[in-house]
Amino acid sequence: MLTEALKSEKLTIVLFLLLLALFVMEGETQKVSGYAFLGLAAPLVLNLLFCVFHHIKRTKTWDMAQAGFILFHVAFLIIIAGGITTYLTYSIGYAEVVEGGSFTDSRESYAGWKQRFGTRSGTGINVAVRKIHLDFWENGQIREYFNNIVIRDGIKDQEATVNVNGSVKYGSLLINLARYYGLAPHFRLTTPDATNSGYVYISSTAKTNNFAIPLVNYKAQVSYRDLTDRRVRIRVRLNELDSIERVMRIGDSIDLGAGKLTLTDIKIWNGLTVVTDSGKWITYAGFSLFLLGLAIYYGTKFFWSGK
Amino acid sequence: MVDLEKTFLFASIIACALSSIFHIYGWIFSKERLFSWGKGLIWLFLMLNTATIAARWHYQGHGPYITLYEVLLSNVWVATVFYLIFVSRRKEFNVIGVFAMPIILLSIGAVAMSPAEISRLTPSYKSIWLIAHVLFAKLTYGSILIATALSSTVILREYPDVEKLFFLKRLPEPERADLLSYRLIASALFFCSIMIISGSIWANQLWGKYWGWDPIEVWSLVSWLVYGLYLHLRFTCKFTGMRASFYVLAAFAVTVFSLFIMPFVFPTVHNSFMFRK
Repeated sequence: MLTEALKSEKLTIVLFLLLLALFVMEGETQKVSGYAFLGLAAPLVLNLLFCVFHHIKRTKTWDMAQAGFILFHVAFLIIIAGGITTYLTYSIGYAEVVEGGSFTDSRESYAGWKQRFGTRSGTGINVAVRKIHLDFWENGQIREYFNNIVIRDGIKDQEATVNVNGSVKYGSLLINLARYYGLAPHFRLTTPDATNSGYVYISSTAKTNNFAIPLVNYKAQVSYRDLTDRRVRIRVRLNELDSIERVMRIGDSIDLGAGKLTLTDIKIWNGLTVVTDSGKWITYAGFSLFLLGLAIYYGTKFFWSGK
Repeated sequence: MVDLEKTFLFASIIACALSSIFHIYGWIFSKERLFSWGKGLIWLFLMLNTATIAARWHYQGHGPYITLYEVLLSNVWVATVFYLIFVSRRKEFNVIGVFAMPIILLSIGAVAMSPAEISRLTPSYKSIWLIAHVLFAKLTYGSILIATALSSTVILREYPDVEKLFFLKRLPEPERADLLSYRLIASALFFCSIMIISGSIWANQLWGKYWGWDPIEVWSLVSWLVYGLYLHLRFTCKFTGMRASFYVLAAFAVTVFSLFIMPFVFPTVHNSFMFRK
């Protein structure tokens, strides 16, 4: 009874319609849970497996069309397997790096981290950004954008170029440009008791960023107008009523009372992502077999059959 | 050069409009000469459309595949060429121009209403996968456009009073039109699969993930599923004739909605420049 139901091609239609409804919902709301897709994938996989098995069993004479038909249905299963593997193994770390700076592939060193399952702690390799190349067309669109990086794994240094359309592979890692960039002014705060310093990352879209000045606990806002600027505008709120606003060039200082804030440098920064995905090649294999199967099936049926 | 492009564009719209009118008038009133003029005007329209693309390509320095204006413009070109190749081998199907040309006219009208601002080739667009993605999107559009026109003829031929309305009898045999529509949809599914796959490989190059649940990605998969379901129904339930033709018309509406309406409704990576609101 159950076997009969599972090998039913009518069930495929129902599952197809459910999948369609789920995709329409996702397209409308962008809130459908991954579990809903996984939940639907289970009966779909079972139905496909039973249908394929049944089709093979009842096929007495094999020809190219039959082979193509089976191939693109099996490819479906491979694509689903690849998608599920990606869902379970995908991780992405996002780092903001200034030109000349570096970051380590470890969970703690990323500004952003996403991984649904598992606990990838990172390989510990160091990625240094030697040069950020950014050039623009006259209408503000990007003309050229790439990074020269050096990957250090403790054994040897590997130089590479990360292009917008070209990831850099290192083992199972993929290093990509995240397409976020901007200026990063470097400040040093000196108080009678201590000194602290660091970059403030300002994105090219907002061109402004809020940050808290450590040690003195003042809130501040810093902004720039153009990527080629060698100055920034800063506004520090000392209390509810008072604030200081200045345009600072490299080397300029502001006396905050509780300490002295100095702009020591301005650098360009950009975002890089480090991705792991074990399902990608399974999915690509599924894609290739699917296209091959479809081409063989419909090619034989419509074009090469001589009808 | 921009003025020249605009001149070619508006001349092509006039040629397309006249072709549509002559097709419809010639078909309904059995005016063979008018119908022939309608057919001839398609070639003039194609030449003017090609000239519009060539002028833009010349002063921008890249192909027409970045902004909505360019995408629609080249879609129209591919759909027209697709149509001409299709009917050149099947003279009895010339009459589907009655349905295809008005759809092409609407598409070229949408081109004229889209912002024609200059687009520059950014690094993300320099990818062979993007070219494959865009090319197969156009082939998908061309295939489903002709399939929809063929399905429209099937519906009209099945009209109860077909004997009274003599012009309906000039439509192609419904069985043949239905079969050709089926073949074109099978081709469209193949092209659409390549479009989605090449797009996902391009996305992986750009962002390190081959599927990002972007609304346009999801809606293109919805279109794919709709046509996939058609083929499955055809295989398992002998889904032919009127039912299948109405389904094809509804599927075309879903595709147009997915490709041309959704980018204006939802924020999507596809409208970073292409679909400026």
